[in-house]
Amino acid sequence: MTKLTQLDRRWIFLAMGLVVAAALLVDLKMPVTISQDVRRAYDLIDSLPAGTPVLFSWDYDPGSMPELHPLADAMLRHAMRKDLKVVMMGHWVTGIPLIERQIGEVIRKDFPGKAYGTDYVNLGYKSGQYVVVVSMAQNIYDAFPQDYYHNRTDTLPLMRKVRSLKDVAAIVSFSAGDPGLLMWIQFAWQRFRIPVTGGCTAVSAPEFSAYLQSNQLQGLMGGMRGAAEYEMLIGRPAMATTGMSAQSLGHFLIIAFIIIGNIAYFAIRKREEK
Amino acid sequence: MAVFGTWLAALLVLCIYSFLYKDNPLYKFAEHVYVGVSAGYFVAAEYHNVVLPNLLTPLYRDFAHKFYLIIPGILGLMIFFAFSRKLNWLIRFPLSFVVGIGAGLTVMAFLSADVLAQVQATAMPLNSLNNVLFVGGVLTTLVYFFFSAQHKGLVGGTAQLGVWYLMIAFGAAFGYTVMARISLLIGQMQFLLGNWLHILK
Repeated sequence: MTKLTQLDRRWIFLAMGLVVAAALLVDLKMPVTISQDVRRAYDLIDSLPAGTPVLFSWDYDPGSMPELHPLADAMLRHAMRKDLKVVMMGHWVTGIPLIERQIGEVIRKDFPGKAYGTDYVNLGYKSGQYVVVVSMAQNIYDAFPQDYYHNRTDTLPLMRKVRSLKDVAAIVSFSAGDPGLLMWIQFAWQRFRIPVTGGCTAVSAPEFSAYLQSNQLQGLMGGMRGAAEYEMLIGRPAMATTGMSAQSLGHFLIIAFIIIGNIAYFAIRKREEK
Repeated sequence: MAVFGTWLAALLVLCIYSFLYKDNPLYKFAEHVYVGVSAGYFVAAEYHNVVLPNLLTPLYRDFAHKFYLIIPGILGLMIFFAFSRKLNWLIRFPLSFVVGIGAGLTVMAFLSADVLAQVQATAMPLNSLNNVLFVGGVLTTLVYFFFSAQHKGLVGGTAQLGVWYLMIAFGAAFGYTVMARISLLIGQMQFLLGNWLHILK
């Protein structure tokens, strides 16, 4: 028993790595239930009529890709199916190439009929956080004089319709921290009443519950689980759904370690008392 | 080139994960590469995405109409006085703008989103168990953080209930944190086993 309480943590790391790898290798599929928060986000996008402009903000970097990349994939796919006009941008400098990667994986591959400038636009990255948001609400051309490909923003057909942030029907932020979802709630929703939804890393999901409850946030996808639920809603289980099976097994392992650790602890204490 | 990138990324991931065994030079190498590349990337991206389109290009092409851009341009350059021992006091001017704009914009945003809207959302009718639990949780937790009265008797009991609410909240936050960390491991496993080794279905 004493050995169990003094177990080298590297064995725990190894066990976790093996369990996750095994779950992925056997392609284990476990059921995913849809939560109300994810359905609200889905309904917001789903309720918009074709041709409506929406803004997608990639507010994460490669470090948070496992959680947010599948979600961005699913939501972008949903928007493309609904024929929404997507304006893309990002607040994280190291996240710039992620927008391009997603355009390649989703739009160019599965929606080749969509035209750049008409159906979607990549504005790229801009530093300034909330100053950029407020500036976009006044005049989007001032905040982004040119897009990611150095085209003048005011020459793009989609951007002629979207002259300010107030012209988009919803804002979707894939958020790994600050600047991200909270900033969009505080500035886009509170100041200009533009509906905000999106996803965040699991670490920050509890923090956003308050904003959901107060209806400042229209739905939320927390981490990989949220992404898996959204994949189910659009009827296309992908990386997040597979990942959630590994996630469940990982949690079982942690629970097992906690139970074993507690049994060992109480057994030793009882023995010492005797 | 894509294959080379995948191999390089996979080897760097393994270098980072080697820290789980123990601190070692391979981990330190990968860590330094990450920090260096991020910093270099940041400088280049800021120049091409912000300084060039928002300042230099308008000044160069349309100087007559956007001469006011000189002011933020000069203020931006004044930040570099941080490197001068004699003139570093000059960075107070650009910093005062940054702090002033930041405070001016965020105070109202925080007040409306984090205080007023939350208070408004808490003022709900006690017509369901869910609402009673919710309002009860807010009030008892607030009592726990009220330190002007001794936590004895009724106040103590209420504060103790608040502690239970706090523990549940911390538990939920911890559960989500565990999920986040495992998600990162899953993402890297999907990369190593899928993109690199091609052994995932």
